[in-house]
Amino acid sequence: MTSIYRSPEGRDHPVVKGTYALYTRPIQEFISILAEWIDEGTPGGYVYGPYRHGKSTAVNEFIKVRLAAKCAGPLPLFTFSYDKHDRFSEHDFLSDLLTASKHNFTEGRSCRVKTERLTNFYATCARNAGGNRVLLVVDEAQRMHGPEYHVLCNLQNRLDVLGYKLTVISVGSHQVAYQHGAFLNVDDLYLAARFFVNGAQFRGIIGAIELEEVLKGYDVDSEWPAGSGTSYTKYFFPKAFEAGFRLSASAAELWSIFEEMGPANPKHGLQVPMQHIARTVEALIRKFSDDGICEPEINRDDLVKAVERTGYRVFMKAVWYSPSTPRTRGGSPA
Amino acid sequence: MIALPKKAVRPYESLLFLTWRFLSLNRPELSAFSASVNLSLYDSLHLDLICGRAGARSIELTSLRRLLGLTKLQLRQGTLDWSTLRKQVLFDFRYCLQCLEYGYHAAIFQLSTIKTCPEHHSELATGCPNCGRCTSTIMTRDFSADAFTCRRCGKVMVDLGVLIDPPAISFGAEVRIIANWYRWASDLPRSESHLLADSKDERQDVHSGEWAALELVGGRRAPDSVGLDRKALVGGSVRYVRCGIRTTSESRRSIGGQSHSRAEREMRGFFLYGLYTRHIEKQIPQTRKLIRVLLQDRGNRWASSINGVKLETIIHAFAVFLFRYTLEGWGGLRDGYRGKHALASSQTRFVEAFHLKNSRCLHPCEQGDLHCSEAERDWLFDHFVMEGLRGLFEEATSRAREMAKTGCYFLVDLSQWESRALPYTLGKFNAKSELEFWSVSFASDQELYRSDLQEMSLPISLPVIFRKERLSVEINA
Repeated sequence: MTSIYRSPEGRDHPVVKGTYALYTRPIQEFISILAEWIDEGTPGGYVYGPYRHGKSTAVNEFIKVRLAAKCAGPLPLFTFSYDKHDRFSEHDFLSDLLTASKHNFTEGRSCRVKTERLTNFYATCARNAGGNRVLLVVDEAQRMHGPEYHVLCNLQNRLDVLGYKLTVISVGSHQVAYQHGAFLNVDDLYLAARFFVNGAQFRGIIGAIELEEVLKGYDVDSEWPAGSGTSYTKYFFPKAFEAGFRLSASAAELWSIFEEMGPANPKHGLQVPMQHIARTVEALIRKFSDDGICEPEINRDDLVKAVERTGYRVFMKAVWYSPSTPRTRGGSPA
Repeated sequence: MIALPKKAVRPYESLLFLTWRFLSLNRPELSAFSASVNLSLYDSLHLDLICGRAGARSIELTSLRRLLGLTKLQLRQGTLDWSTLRKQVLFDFRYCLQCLEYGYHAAIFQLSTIKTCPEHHSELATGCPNCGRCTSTIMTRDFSADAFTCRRCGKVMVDLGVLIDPPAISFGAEVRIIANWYRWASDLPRSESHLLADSKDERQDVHSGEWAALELVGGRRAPDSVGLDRKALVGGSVRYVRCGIRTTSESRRSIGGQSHSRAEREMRGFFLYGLYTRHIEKQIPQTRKLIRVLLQDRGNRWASSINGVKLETIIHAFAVFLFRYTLEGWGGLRDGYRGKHALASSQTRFVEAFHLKNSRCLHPCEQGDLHCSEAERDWLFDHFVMEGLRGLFEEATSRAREMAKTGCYFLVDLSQWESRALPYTLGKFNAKSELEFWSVSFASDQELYRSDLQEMSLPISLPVIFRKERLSVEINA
């Protein structure tokens, strides 16, 4: 009996390297909402959700491929993970935007030149795609404040003059949703009206059925090596998989453990972060992956231990004490 | 990635304009741009994108071509050939206002021979429409400034929207015809030699004489919009010489023949002179007899000898006499009458006389845009010597004809002759892989000279047997 997880050939597996992503129902909903906003021609919107729920994975891994299929017509899309500096600098912000857009020339002497460069670049991309819309998705947007949005506002205005539309989607933790109120308080109503017109929540996994769908991702909707037709579960449990072993069969039991270990009375129902599910599954694979056994003996205690090691209990306590949605603060309805 | 509208290069759009569009949309720093196109900072600041050069050097434009997403054909169509068109290229940005509305500019707009837009027939303009400030086509220090905005008054010449989404053009056929004609003429293999005009500002002159000649000898008429100076060719003649064998570029490089020294070349020139003199003396049988009469210095006998002789024969004989008198440096008639060895003994004086100040014979080593091996130079030297001799004999014939009209013959040193016509020597390889030379004689202002040329222009094959070496001329290398 040998552990495939630790075998030399298994070292490059995405699960071992932690470089895989599963298309979940929350991501599907997130992309559907974005597609709706874009088709409506909204100048901006925001998506908020607790940490570790898979927002960044959705932005980096799925948005480009899946959104293009859902939107009517081609859409140039740029993603930008905002990196907060000690002091805001328009120069740095524009350079970061240019870098994120993969522009060849990111440096410049003046902000005007950089803004023009970015405007022309977005306009040309839209023109080359055969439309007049450009989408900018800003991840970690909870760190952005008025000055950053002012820069984006200028960019949007310049593109408007040229006849192109820029949609800015701010994706971040729940603090993003507070920006709306913050802009109203400091008379930046026009920023709120532009970038916070639409809002939506990025939720976690709710219920055993959704969890089963996620685990089916390991069982069926995954493949490695590419083109081999071998799912992740089949790769790590070859004989057991042939004998009918599936991770998704443990979904109900796993969900009950998440419920037990989670907050006693969650405000909006239990939402399990995707990261804890993934780390639990990875722990199980790490422990039980074997090319010899026909039926891995994974009992409830093993599942509890695996969940416990992900720090689920501590994390959920922290989330429990933090304000989860803007509704509770009397903000605009999401 | 860069801001660059895809599939937006219109036919024959200039590289200059495309680069300006790129710079205007992307506003790169000089250093970043230089790195992107693999050029030094110096070259980037001296870029001549009309001819694809930096300063006086030609540069590799592959990186720029790739950056702009151009095909090799588009790059070729967007530039002008420096080696053949440099005297016609203007360095102030010239444009057609109507074309500019479409964000279009063709490289041929920079040619001084093109006065009007071939498509819209409006006069090509230079300078800002508002303040008149000219924009140089050479890159300058204010590199990062928008090229489409006047640096004095701020007038925007091309809208940003047009740069981002250049509209398709329905015109371009005329531009294509002209550009193709120039490309054909530029590619025509040839060697050129000509005297430089005494002009302080060479760029102001339209040296299109050779282009008119190309049009004539190549058999392809230039489009009407091309303002070629054809006047110089009125009454002129075109002759051709066929010689040499074309070789491959490898064999051309490996020619091992050593170059002749100056003294050897002069010997060779003198030898050719002997051959040519014998040829012209034998052209008309009575010539030698008449020359002998003249050399005996018996004036009355000359008058009696020419009685009953055809006028053409007299003119020819006296022309040969004047020709030898000049080139052999005779102090008087007696110098010419020295028996069999007269010619050999006068070699030194021949050499002196041969280097005429205004000779039509241009030594390929000294002047001209020739790119050839040393051995080829020697071979070309033969050709140029023959050209010079033939030109001088034409002048001698012209003088003799003038004297025959008045009936008063006198000795005149033709070395004082000033060439009013610029000689052009052009050549191309024919279907038999032989090199054909055309010697194009441009008529001077003098009616007399013009009429002489008309009468004398014969499609001759020079009597000199050129060395049958594997030689050819590298053109536009």
